[in-house]
Amino acid sequence: MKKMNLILTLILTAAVLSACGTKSQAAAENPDSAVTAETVGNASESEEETVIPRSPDADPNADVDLTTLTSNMVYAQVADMMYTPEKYTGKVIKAKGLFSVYHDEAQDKNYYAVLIQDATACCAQGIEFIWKGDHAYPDEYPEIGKEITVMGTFNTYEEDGATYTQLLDADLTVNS
Amino acid sequence: MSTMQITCKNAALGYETGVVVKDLNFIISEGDYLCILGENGSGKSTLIKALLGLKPQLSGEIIFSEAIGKNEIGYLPQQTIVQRDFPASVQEIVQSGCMNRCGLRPFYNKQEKQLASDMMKKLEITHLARRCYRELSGGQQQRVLLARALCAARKMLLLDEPVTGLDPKAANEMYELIARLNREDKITIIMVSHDMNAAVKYASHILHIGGRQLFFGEKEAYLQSKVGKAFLEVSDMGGDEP
Amino acid sequence: MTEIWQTLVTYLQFPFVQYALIVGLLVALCSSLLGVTLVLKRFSFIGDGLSHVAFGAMAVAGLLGVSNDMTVVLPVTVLSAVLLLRTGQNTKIKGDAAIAMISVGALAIGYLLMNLFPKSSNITTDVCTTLFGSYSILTLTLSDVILCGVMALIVITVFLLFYHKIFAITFDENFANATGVKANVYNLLIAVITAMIIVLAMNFVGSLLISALIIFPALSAMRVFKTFRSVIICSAVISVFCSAFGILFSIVIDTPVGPTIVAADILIFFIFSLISFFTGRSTKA
Repeated sequence: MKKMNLILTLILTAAVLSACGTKSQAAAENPDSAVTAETVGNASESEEETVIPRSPDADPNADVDLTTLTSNMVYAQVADMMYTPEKYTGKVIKAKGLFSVYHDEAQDKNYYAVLIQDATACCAQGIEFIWKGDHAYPDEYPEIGKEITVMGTFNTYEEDGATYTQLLDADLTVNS
Repeated sequence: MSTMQITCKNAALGYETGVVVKDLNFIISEGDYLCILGENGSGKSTLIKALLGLKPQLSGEIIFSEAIGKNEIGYLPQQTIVQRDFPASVQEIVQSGCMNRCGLRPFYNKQEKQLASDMMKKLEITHLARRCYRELSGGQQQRVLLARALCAARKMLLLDEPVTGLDPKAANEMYELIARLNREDKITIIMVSHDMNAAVKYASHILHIGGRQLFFGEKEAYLQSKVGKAFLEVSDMGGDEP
Repeated sequence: MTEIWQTLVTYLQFPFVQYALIVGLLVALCSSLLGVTLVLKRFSFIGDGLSHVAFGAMAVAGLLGVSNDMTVVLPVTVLSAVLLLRTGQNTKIKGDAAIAMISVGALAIGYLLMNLFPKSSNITTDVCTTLFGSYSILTLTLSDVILCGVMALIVITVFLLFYHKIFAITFDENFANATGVKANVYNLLIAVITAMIIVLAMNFVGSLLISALIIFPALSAMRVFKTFRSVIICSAVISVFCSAFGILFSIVIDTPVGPTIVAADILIFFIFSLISFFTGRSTKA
């Protein structure tokens, strides 16, 4: 039964990923792909393909380009991504913010995130990302607090019973 | 002489904490013009609440005749601060007197609108219908409130210090108007006042209270009574006029 | 200018912007309808008091781990509204003192609870958004919008059905009582729908600014208009206009939503004051 589920979700994942086209290969290579598939499978129960509005100056390669929105809109857009991640799974997200790292002592694992701040700097939101390719921390990563732009595929995964969101296979550029 | 509308037997009024006025024994009949006299704190406002059915008596009885019913008294309250700058047209205010006829119906029907405009005509304020209440003179405002009271009840009016804040001319007009309603429309008038001169001039009956009932009877008897004479003297000297 | 227009058109396509507009306009409409009555009854600060109670209730709801805040916040706020109105009548603690007491009390306890038992890691954000509502209006879900729609419908229906009664007891409660209109029942009704609106509006402008939404449109309308009905209509129009303007302005120019709406309301108030001054229609000293 569990196997069936897994297969089913894998098929669904493939369908979803191919549906949105670009950069779908990465998901298969991801070490967490089983988990990924699971959550994507759950999410795809709400099957409707939502069209996300775009501003005219948005990056044509991104489905959601946060860099061209006003910060109110960024906040709302990110909140929407957190509340209804199923709508955004598989979409390419482009975001600009401050580079930040969270170190999990228990697993001795680093989580990298882009911290998006609003105008009053009171309500910052972080989005975790996984940089495309192999990079050693801290040597190759930017300095903490540097402004970076990240573009990656939106994804949800579960860890210790909680659902998290991340940008997979992300391109990272340091803004000067 | 004519039908009794309110009968008060041995009534005592007040709050849980104490009696304000007691030994009330009086009868109000159709067409009477009763003036309730008394100093501040004599229990006048408590009596008003009791007559309006807002406050049950502590003991004794207050009997309303069937013709009058409990909420069928038109009431002209003293002006409140809220009203002084209230944005409302004369028409809106007069119509609100018909409220107790509506029940749960959310709007006024034709008869009620007609009644309101009849009452405005009777009190000669039809030309003010669209004017803003807060822009009227004191006398005009009182007429508006009187028209509203008449919409609520046609048989009995209870007036609480109706000339407070009016200049002598307007006060006089107001008194004449009330007297006309009493005379021509046979509307029973209960007026609470400390204006002795008006009471003597217009009232048919006097009820004088001060913690308890000091006098009740016809005006002529009152003028001969000890209380009446004493009060009249004080008013004459003290210049109790507003 | 065309650029701003273009941005606006784009942003209007986002569902959360549409939700914000719908909820914003409904809340503005409801609050302005009741605002006139509350201002005239000298209850301007009830909005402030109740919104702080709602803030405290929200903290308690978070503490209890209730999944839906509303199940705690709404009953508590309604109850406080009823109690506040009661104290207005019996004079042990005077109306304004009671409101002030409950208002600051709930605010303090709410913040205290949020700090002692933090639900999320970012208390400043939570407090900041609950008090000033900077962003929560932009993060509504469809179910929020439906809830808001239902509550707005209730409020508007009640208001229309009891419009004349509300007028009567606002103008003269003594008279209404004397002629057999149950003023207490309608006062209670006003208290309950006021509480409902405040809970709704918390998402919108935040606890601290709700009073502005209730009083400014009413005060502006009262400057110029002279009948109760025209004041109500004008106040509704002002309120809806300011809210729409505030929301759109804030997302395009990037200002906090709640304060922008309030600023628009204040601006309209000054414009209307000027109008009443120059036309000499205001006879009020």
